[in-house]
Amino acid sequence: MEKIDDLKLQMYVDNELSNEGRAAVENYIKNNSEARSLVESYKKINHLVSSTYSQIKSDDLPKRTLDLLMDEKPSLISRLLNYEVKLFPALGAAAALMVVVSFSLNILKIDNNPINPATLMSENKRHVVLNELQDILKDSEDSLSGIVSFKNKNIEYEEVKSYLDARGRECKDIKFKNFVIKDAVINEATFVKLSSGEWKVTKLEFIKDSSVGI
Amino acid sequence: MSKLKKELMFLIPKLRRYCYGLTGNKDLGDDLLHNSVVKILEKFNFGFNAIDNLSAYMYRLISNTWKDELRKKYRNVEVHVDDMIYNNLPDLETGNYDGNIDTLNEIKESIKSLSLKLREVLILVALENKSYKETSEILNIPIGTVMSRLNEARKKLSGQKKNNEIKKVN
Repeated sequence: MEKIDDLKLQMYVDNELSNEGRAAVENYIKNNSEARSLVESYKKINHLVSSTYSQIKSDDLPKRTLDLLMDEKPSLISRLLNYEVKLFPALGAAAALMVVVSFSLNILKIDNNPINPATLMSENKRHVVLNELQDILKDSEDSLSGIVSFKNKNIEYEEVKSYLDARGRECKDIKFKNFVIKDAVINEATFVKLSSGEWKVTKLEFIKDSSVGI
Repeated sequence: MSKLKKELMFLIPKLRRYCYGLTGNKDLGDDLLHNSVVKILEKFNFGFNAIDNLSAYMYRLISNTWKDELRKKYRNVEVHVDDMIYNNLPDLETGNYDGNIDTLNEIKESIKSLSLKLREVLILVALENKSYKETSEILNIPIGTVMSRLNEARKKLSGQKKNNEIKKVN
C-alpha cells in the first residue's frame, strides 16, 4: 500500500491526486483522526485565503486600467471637467446644438420603439441599410474607421466606442459622415456581436432632414 | 479592440485579485495591475506577439513586476526579495466573509507575515485554484519547490493560528 504522508494529504486537498490516490487518502483518513484533522485544517486555510479576497472580484474594476484596454476616447463631459475643452466655446457649441436639436433632431431606437423609424425610412430600405451596416463589421478585429460604398456613394465611418453591454456582449458605436438616405441623415449606429459571431445593429441614430439623399 | 485586449479584459478580475493577494493592499494591488497591463501593451506595441498562454504569462509578469518594485523600494535592504515579509504594509480592506471575522483578520495578518515566495505559491493554489504544474510554470520553479513552499506556508499559518488560540486561552 502506498505511504500516505503530509504532502499527500495536501495534494488531496488541492485536487492533485488521481482517482485511485483520492480513494486511498479517503480510506486512510477514515481511520486516522490526526490525518483527518490535518485535512480539515488545510481545507480551512484554503477557504480562508479564498474568503479573504472574495470581495475583490466583485468590486468595480479600476477605470484607468479599463480605459487602457478599451482605448476609449474621453467623453466631452469628462474633458470639460478636466478643462481639456475651453468652457466658453464648449458652452456656445452646446447652445447651438440645443437649437438644432429643438428644431430638427429626432433620435430613435429601432428595436425599442415600435412607432418609428418607418416614417422616415421605408421597411424595405431600412433592411438594406441595416444589412449594409452589418457588413461593415464582418471579420473586423481592430478599431474601425474607413469608407464604405453604399449605392455608389462613399460613406466615411469611424468607431467611437467599444465596450461590453450588461449581458457581456461586445458592442461598438460607429459614427458616420455623409450618410444620407432619403430624408434621414444617419449619424451613429450601435452594433452588438451575437453568440453566432455576427454583428447586429441594435440602435440607429438619425436626424430627419430635408437634404437630398441617396 | 485587439485580440490581446479582449483576452486581458476577460482576465482582469482574476489578475486584480492576485495583485491584491501579492501586495496585501487594495491601492498597491491596483497600481500593480495597471503597471503590468501597461508593460504587456508596450511589449505588443513593439511587435512582441508570441504568447501561448496569456493567463500564465500575466501572472508571471505581475509577480516579476511586484518583485522589481520591491527591489527598487528596498534597494538598501539586504534581504532577498523572495524572503521579504511586508507585515508593515497598510491593512487589507475587509472582505465578504460569512464566518467569524476574527478568524478572517487572523488569516489576513498571518498571510502578511509570510515571505513573498510562500505567499505567491499559497495564493496561486488556494485562491486562484492553479494546479501545482501551472504554479510551477508561472513562477518558473520546479513542482517539488511548489509543494515544499506550500507545505511551509500552511505549517506557518496553522502554527500561528494555534499560537493565537493559546494566547486567547491565556
